[in-house]
Amino acid sequence: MTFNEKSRWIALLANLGGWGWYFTTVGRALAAGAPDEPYLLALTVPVVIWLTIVTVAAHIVVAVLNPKEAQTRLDERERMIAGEAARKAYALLSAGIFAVIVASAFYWRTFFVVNALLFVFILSESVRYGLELAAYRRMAA
Amino acid sequence: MAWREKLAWLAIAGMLIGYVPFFYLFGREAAAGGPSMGRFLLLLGIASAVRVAIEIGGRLVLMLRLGAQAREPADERDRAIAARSSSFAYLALLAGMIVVGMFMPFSQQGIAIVNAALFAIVAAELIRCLAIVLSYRLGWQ
Repeated sequence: MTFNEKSRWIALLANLGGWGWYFTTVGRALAAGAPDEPYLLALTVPVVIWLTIVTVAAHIVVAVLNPKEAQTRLDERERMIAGEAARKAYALLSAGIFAVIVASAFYWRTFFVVNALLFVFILSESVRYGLELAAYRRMAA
Repeated sequence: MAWREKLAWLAIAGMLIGYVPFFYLFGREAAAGGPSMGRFLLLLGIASAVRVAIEIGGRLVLMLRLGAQAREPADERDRAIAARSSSFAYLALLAGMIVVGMFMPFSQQGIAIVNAALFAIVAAELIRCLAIVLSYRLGWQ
């Protein structure tokens, strides 16, 4: 497994863990009724801090375990994989944002719009990592 | 000029002609108390229709004038340029979503957030098209 592939696994798992917890908390609060919206929105700050710490620490561990691999640059195939994944994630993100804009006309609440935008953002990032990982797995097979 | 560069110019023209007046009108009305959601959607619908009409009309004219060139499949260079340009646009859109989803909710409310999300999409699309044009002009791929 290349350093870049490990890096994508770290990013994907950290994203799913951190934001999964956030959206589960928001979902539970909404289901319970009368959510404390400012508090829930403020939860994004510790999630971002946690994600940054976990991602940086995991990359440092991986780099220390195999320093030579961590210094290699992306080759042409890896750049192509990253570019293709970004192209698809970009299409998904753009469509998602547009859908949120249209949906906001029918169900308008700042809390809903912000969380919907965040969800689309996290979804597109996860799809990008997932597409890259799938391409790496296909390459390895 | 390459077929895909022409399409990128067309998209730039469509976006500038469609969305610059939209953002100008929105800004003017927002300064005077802000447009309603219905008015916002009406303006957005007109701007999007102008953009789509320019892109589809321009594409049809180009296809009729260029014939075979318009039917050529994308080669490796075209695909590399498309992927790279989308990567730039994706990063711009992600940055826009961080601002819209994580910073604006603490200082802005309502339609300003939706308009900022729309602005991020248009800016990202402009970056993508400009990157395509520059890639063909300057040989980046």
